[in-house]
Formats: sequence, C-alpha cells, structure tokens
Amino acid sequence: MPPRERGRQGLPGWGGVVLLISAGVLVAGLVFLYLWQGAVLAQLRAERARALLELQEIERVRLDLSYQVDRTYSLGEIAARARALGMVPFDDKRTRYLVLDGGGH
Amino acid sequence: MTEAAINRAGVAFLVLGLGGLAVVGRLVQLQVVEHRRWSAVAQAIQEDVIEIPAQRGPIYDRNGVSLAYDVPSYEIALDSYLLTKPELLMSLLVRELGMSYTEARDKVYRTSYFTWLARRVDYSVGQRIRAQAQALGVKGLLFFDSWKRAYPQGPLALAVLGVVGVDGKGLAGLELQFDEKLSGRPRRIRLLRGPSGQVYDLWEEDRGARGNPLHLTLDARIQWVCDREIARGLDKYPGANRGFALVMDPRTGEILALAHGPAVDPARPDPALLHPWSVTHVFEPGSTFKALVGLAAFDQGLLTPDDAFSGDSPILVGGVQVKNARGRSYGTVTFRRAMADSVNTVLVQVAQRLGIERTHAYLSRMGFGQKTGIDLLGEVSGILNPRERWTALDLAVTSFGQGVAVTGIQLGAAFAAMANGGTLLRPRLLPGPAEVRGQIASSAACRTMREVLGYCVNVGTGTPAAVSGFNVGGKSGTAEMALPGRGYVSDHVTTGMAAFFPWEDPQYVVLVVYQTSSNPEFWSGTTSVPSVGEIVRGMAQLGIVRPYAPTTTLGRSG
Repeated sequence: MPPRERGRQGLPGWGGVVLLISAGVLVAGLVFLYLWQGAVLAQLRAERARALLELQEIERVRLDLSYQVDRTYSLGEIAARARALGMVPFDDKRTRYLVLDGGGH
Repeated sequence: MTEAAINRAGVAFLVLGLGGLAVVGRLVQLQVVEHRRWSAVAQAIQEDVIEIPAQRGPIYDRNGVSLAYDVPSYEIALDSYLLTKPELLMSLLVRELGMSYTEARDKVYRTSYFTWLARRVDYSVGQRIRAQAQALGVKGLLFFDSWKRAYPQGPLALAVLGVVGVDGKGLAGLELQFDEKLSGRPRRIRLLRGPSGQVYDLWEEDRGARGNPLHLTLDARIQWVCDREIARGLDKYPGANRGFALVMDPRTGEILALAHGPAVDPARPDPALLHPWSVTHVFEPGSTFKALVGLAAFDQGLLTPDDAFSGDSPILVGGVQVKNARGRSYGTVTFRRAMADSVNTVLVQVAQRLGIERTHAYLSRMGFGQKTGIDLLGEVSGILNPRERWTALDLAVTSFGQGVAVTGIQLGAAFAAMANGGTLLRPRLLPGPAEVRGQIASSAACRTMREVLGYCVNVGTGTPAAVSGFNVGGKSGTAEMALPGRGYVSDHVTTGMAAFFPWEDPQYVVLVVYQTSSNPEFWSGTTSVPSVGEIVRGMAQLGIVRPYAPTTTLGRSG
C-alpha cells in the first residue's frame, strides 16, 4: 500500500473525533461536578459546624435565662417582693378559717 | 534528526525522568511511608478538640420544683504571653469580678504563662468581660465554657443538699452522697479549623452524658416555711444560736422538710454550717421524751390518762433530789394534767411503774441509740446507755429526757411512729416504698397518747403551738446542756417541740429544736412551741393544708 493511503487509513474519521471530544467533555464535566460538589459540601459542613456551635451557645443563654426566671419566681423572692409592696404574713388575729364538715386535705 | 540531537534529547529525558522519579519517590515517602507522622502534624495544626464539662444532674423536690441544677458559667484564664494592656485588664477585673486592686495586680503580673483569673464566673458576667476586653483591645484572656451549681430557691435546704466544689464534685450533703449518680460524662468535640481559626467542620467524638437527676421527698413549699421560721426564730429569740425544723409524713416516713439555721449562703457556703445537725449531732430531748415514756406505760397497760399522781417536788431517787421545773409542786394531778404542765416527778413515778427493763426495751425499740438509716452522711447513733449500766436515777431522769442523747431525726421518727399507730419507719429523703423498722406500741396506746398530747397543746405548755382548725397535738421540752467538765450549764439550753396534726389521724409530724449558749431564760414555751404554730400556719398560708372539722371536745377549732 502506498504511504499516502496508509496515512489516510490511520486518521480517525469525523465520528471518531466527535466521540473523542464528547468523552473529554464528559470526563471534564464529571471532574468539575466532583470538585464543585466537594466544595459545596465543604462549605455546608463549615456552615453546619458554625450553626452547631451557635446552637450550643444559644442553649447556654437559654439555661442562664431559665435560671434567672426560676430565681425570680422562687418563694423567697416573691415573699421579698410582697413585703416590699407592704404585705405582711398572716396571723391568727387577722385570719378566720372556714371549717368545713369532714375537713381534711 | 542527527545522532547528536537524539543523544541530547535522550539525556534531557533521562534527567527529567530521574527528576520525576525523585518527585514520585518523595511523594511516596510523604504519603505512604511517613503518612501517619505528617497526618498527625496536619491534624495538630488544623484540628482542635474541645471538652465541654458534663452538666451535673439536677435535684428536684417531690413536686418537680428544681432545688439545684447546673447553669452555664465561664472559667477565665490569662495567657501572659499574649497579654496586652495589663492596666486596663486590672481595672476590668476589679470592676466586673469585685477583685481588690492588689489581687488583680498579683494575678495579672504573675510570672507564669497561664494564670486562672476566676472560675465559675456567672455567664452574663463572663459575656460582659469578653465584650469589654474586645472593645478595649485587651488580649490574652482565655474563656472556657463551664458549669456552675445554682440554687434557684436560694439557701433552701442547703444544709441537706450540700454544695459542689470548683471541680464540679460534691463536697457535702446529698451532693456528696450521690456524687456518682449526679456526675455526668464530658462531651468531646473535634473541630477542623482554617488558618485564621475559622471552623470548617465539627465531629462529636463523645456525645457525653448529663448527670442523672435526683428526686427528693422534700416539698419546697414546706421547706421554705420551715427555713423562714428557723431564720425568724434565730433572729427573734434572744440568745438562739442554732435551730432546725423537721416535717415528716408519718404514714410513709418521707421527710417533707428539714431546715437548719443559721442559713447557708449559697455564694459563700460556711463549712461549719454545711452539716445537717439534726442528723449529725445529739442533744438531750428534755420533756418531749415524756410522751414516749408515757406511751410505753400505756402500751403495757400500766397507766391511763386519768390516773392520779403526786406532783410534789422534790422527790428522792437513790438519795438524789429530783425536781420539777422551777421547783414547783402541783399536788395531786392526773397523768393528763401532769403532761400538760410537764411535771417531772409524775413521769418519774410512771417510769418506776415500768421499771428499768421495760423502759430500756421500749426506748431501744423506738430506735434510740441506733442510726435511723436516713439518706444523709454523718448520721450518729445517739446515746442510750446499755441496760446493765442503768441505775434507778438513770431511769428517773430518762423519764423526762435527761441522761439520754438523741438526734432530731430519731425523735422525729419516734413521734411519727406514735402518729401512725405505732409503726417505726425509716425516715427517707428519696421516694420509695415505706420501710418498716418495727412496731413500738399498739395502735390504741398511740391514740391514747395522741389524745393526751392534743390536750397538752389545747390547755398545757404547748398552747402557743395551737392553730385554730388544725388540732395540733404535741409535747414541748426544755433541757440544759451538759458540757464536758462543767456538768449541766444553766445558760446552755436546748428547747424542742415534737408535734403532729390533726392529732386524731396525723398527716404531718413537726419537730422544732433551738439551742442557746448564752441565755438561762430560754424556754420551749417561748421558742420552739410558737415556731411549731408558725409552721402550721405557714403551711395553711400556702394552701398545703386545710383546717379540719372539730371532732372532739378537746378541740378549740373553728
């Protein structure tokens, strides 16, 4: 076979070129997708970590506020506020019980 | 291509090939051979492990009211290597943490890289310090998340609950006794950080575990009433040094309140006050004991409330004069009246009817001289001398509560047994089924004695404990204290009142005890007895109890 013919036969046809380019694009796309998804995942993980830490801090704030509420509504504090308003503990002189038949708890 | 060009290209390929091989070799060395080492180095630079201390379990009362729990706090330290603006930091510490200037200077200029500035700092204070340090440009402060034990009800029952140290371990009371149950497991978090400290990822290495909760039989409302009354008593009764009040459910042995005074300040707990002395110390019960000796005589069928005795004073026992309080004589009195007037000489005669053998056996059966088994550390047994060592005089003085030493909890348990019909129960601070320790007397004998004690409160020495509509019954007592080497000292006095209500079918047992070391005129009638009345009133005030209908001619209800 003459050299020119041998060269023509060795080159791929148009179909082959399209196939090669498509395969390249597909591989590049997959690589891009892999890298892009990885970056997004990393970003989401970082956001999740920050949110979890923030949540932990918010939980600490909640516990602190909850304690302040409990303290404010404790019997001792309520009694102190009542005294400040001029209230006094009751005694027998100022109190009459309504005694019911068969009284108890 | 000439042969020379081919040779040059070959050399170039060889050099490049060798270079590439060297690079690949180095990569293999770093990535494969030394993988672990470099991985650890990278991890140390990029990753950070945070250990968040375990949150200690909360303590609740019987109704789920929180008595103690952990709240967030900060531990603040100083890294001297990074410190800037020390003078500003000192003024910040003085202002926010209440440190003296000298203390702040000593901490800030301490020749150490790491110094604790303050531990267990309130969350809001820590936040303020952090914000101000940032605003002032003070660097070098380190903030560690931590927990701090908080008492939302203030000093309520603190002598029983105990306290927790800076390391989060229980130091006294229930906090110490149930330390293992209350302690949790720290949480471990691993953080992946960027070059400027930003967080890229987070893994929970150990979720940790919060400590287990502890539920008590205490009722925060009744406890508050008792705490308030003991504080009022110590303030009002001249010379009163300390006191306690106990409220029990006689049907179950559950302790509803156990208040001790002086109160413990939760912010600066005084170790000397951090023991429930109703359990850890003994005292001579005085005339409250008469009710128990009388109960034994009723149970043996040796006595009725209307039996007549000579109430003259003094009487001779084993050659020693035994007198009534203030040396008073009462002529011929019934046992009921003798109890109402607390006549010592009559109780001596009752004890003599019983005899040493039976009196000692009954007191043992009532739990004196033995620990009750209450869920508190440091309980003592009290002193009930062995029967062999008892003389006729021991028998006589024991009848009115001298020569015997009891704990408050023993006395409360014995009165609770009388109140429930004779069953001695283990006093409990933790919920659970009632634990029977024995039967101290018949139900009929207990009822007879309760009726006599109802009379004591209605017309006798216990009158200040009477509260209209509540049918309180009980016995008061005043006893001088015996001091080592000095014998009985007139200005060292214990006063007590053991009571229950309503006496027909008691729902509550109340015991109040005060002690003085400076007032010879310290009497139960003006201290413990009115305090019992105040506690009953306080329970009514909070709606815990309602008045009972009058069911007896003895009652002054309505």
